Amino acid sequence: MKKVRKKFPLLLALALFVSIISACSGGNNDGSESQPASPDASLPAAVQSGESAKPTGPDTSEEVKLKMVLIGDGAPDAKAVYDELNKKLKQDINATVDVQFLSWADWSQKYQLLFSTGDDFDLIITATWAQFADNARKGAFYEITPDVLQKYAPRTHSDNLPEVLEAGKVEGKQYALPMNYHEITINGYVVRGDLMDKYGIASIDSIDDFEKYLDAVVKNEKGMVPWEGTNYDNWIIAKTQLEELREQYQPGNLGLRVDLNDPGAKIIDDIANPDQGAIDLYKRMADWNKKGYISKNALVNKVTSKDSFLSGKSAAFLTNLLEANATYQTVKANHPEWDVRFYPANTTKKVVANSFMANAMAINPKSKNPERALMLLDLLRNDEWYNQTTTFGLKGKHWDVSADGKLVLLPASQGYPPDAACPWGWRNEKYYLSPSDGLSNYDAVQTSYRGRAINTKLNNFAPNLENTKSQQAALKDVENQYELPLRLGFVKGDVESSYKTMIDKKKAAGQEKLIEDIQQQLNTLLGQ
Amino acid sequence: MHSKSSLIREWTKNKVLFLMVLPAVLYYFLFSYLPLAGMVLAFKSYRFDSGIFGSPWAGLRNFEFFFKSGKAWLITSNTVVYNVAFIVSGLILQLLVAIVVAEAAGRYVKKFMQTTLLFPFFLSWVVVGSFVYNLFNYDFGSINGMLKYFGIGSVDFYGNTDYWEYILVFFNNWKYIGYNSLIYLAVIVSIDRSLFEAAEIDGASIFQRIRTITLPLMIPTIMILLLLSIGNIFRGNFDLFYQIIGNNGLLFDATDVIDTYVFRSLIHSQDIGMSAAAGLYQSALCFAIIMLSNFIVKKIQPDYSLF
Repeated sequence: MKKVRKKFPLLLALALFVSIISACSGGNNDGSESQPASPDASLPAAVQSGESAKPTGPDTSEEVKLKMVLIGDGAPDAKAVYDELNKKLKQDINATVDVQFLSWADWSQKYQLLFSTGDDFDLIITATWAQFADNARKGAFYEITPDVLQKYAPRTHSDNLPEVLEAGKVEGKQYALPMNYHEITINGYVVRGDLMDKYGIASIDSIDDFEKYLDAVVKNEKGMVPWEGTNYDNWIIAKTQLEELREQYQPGNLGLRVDLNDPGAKIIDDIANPDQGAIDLYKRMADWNKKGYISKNALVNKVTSKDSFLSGKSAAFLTNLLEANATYQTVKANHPEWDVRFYPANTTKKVVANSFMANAMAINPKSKNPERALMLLDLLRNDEWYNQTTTFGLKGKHWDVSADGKLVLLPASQGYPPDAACPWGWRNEKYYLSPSDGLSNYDAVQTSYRGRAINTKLNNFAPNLENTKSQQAALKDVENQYELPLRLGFVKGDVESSYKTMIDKKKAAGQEKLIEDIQQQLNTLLGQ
Repeated sequence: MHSKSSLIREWTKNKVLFLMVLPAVLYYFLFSYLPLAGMVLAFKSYRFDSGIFGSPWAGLRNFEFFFKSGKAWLITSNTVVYNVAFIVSGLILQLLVAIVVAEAAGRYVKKFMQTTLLFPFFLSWVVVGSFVYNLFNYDFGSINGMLKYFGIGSVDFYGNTDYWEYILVFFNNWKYIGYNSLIYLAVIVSIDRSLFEAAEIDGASIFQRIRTITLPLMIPTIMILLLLSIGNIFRGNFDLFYQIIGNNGLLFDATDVIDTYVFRSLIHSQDIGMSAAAGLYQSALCFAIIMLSNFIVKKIQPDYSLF
């Protein structure tokens, strides 16, 4: 009796299991569920809009709904903007698009899940910073063959630079359409002009000048933390001092540096030769930390450096030019007397432009309408109206163009701040406007960096991490536990021994194997 | 062994009982047994296009990262030590609270104690994390403010591993004490009052009554709850550790548990196979320890064992 009672749930479980499995496989069959064709007048509209007079235009007789996944917190007016876009989109390619934003707070968890759970989205943002190459190798993206590209995205195929498209390839196959924009990330110091003038600091041209500024603040401004040093800006200090100013570069952002002037791209091995430059920087940071230039809470602070700066609690932070400009505009409205200034960290050295894959769009391989998705991308990338509307909002409401062709923000732009609703994947140099009312040195800094930009094949490095993922994960932990505190000057004892501990831990975590594996891939890339 | 007819007889006889157990069986089947198949992921190199079962095998490579940095032992022992501390301190405090609340004279005193102790249970760890930060941070923390006021220098809590074992144990108890003591309280309340009355007439003091009546009658419940919590001894309370410690590398040696380590290592690669491997490692250890402890309990006192 007892045995039977035990068996019954098992039988039941089995029966259920079978029924669920069969339900699942049954569900797969209706993949080609068709929506009712809408025989309205929108059919010839593709020709009407003037953007495509193709002799054999793709068939758009069936109305489709596309779903696009973007990253960020969107914008209050995003819906209004996309509603407007959808009206035109319906006429042009007989489709509408529905946008879903993954918030910055948890995008990295949700992003990968979208692929593994088989979500029915059509388009998704991807980028080097979102593990593009790795995901592409795992079959996350639709392969855009040259024929398909030519047929459904003719303008991308013919107008975009070949190197742009090249960047979206992994092992020769096109998995994403990268942005059509030469992006250079310009990192530097954001400081307050009023404090600089007060303490007689003329300009910040180096980390020494920045140190003087922090010193003046800590000695004279009671109740103010000179530099919060949290999140992103402590990364920038290492990035600028150890890479940019030494003309070094990390191919594929794996924490491994090569010398830009070395044609063989040999990875610099910190285990064999301790990096004196890094030790010196960490010593400086330890000194800053001791003297109170850096907040003692830098490792645990839940407020970003930028927010702390905006609220007047701290006197400086590090960021890129675009963020600095946004900060400038915010502060100008609330505290014009602060006179926010931006000084780029790298004023003389070579600059590597970002890979075009720094932002891109890809298509879901499970999408029911990859063709229409591609047509939408073609419009977003190459059509002035689509491109600027998604980037800056509705012209006349959110923004306008000045006489000299610059971007003028209207008061309503708060509802759709430029570039905020994640139009990065289809950014186009032709239509991207620089702000008319920004930092005084905005254009000068841009020009200076562009003049120093160099091309390198390393930019398109799409590493295969399958064989080294254990090492990567273990190294990530070492970085968190040992490198991050060093970068902010939190050391027990002396810097040299802490540095040595970190190197030992990296060695134990398999840094050497990673170097060996990546070096081989780099050699293949460079054809050695 | 069993004929078909006995199965049917069983069914017709206990139809109602079977129906009663059905929801629970369904629940555990759907959410606990069905996902077991996903365990296979720990040995796979997951591909989006081939799915769970179609992906290529990876052997034991998914487990490597865990042992690579030499931290496997440290974080496993941290996890166990913290959980033992939580279980032991929690047990003592919860019993104490339950007994005091049960014996406390006035109705209002009782209600007041229960409500105040229960309240923290409803706060999320995110909230607790931010007020821990406001208590202990170096520049503006209230504790450092107080220390400064009394002329003692500030203490750099977030840069020093010495304090966190106590802080974590404290907050864990603070949060769960009210809720978990409810079960003990229910047991005490259900004890036959005449036993106490008889003891009182015989001249037993309150402590004697607690020692000889309350505690012995509570032992079966204590054992069950103890065994249940031992079953989770290899799982760190992620929320507790992550929200209070965060990404502060200075404290990791003293505060890192399996769950936080796995989270930090894999948050960038989001490798499903490796996360599954870590989960399997924990589950296997938990399974082993619960079988073992149940076996020991059964040897000593069969009535107290779980199964």
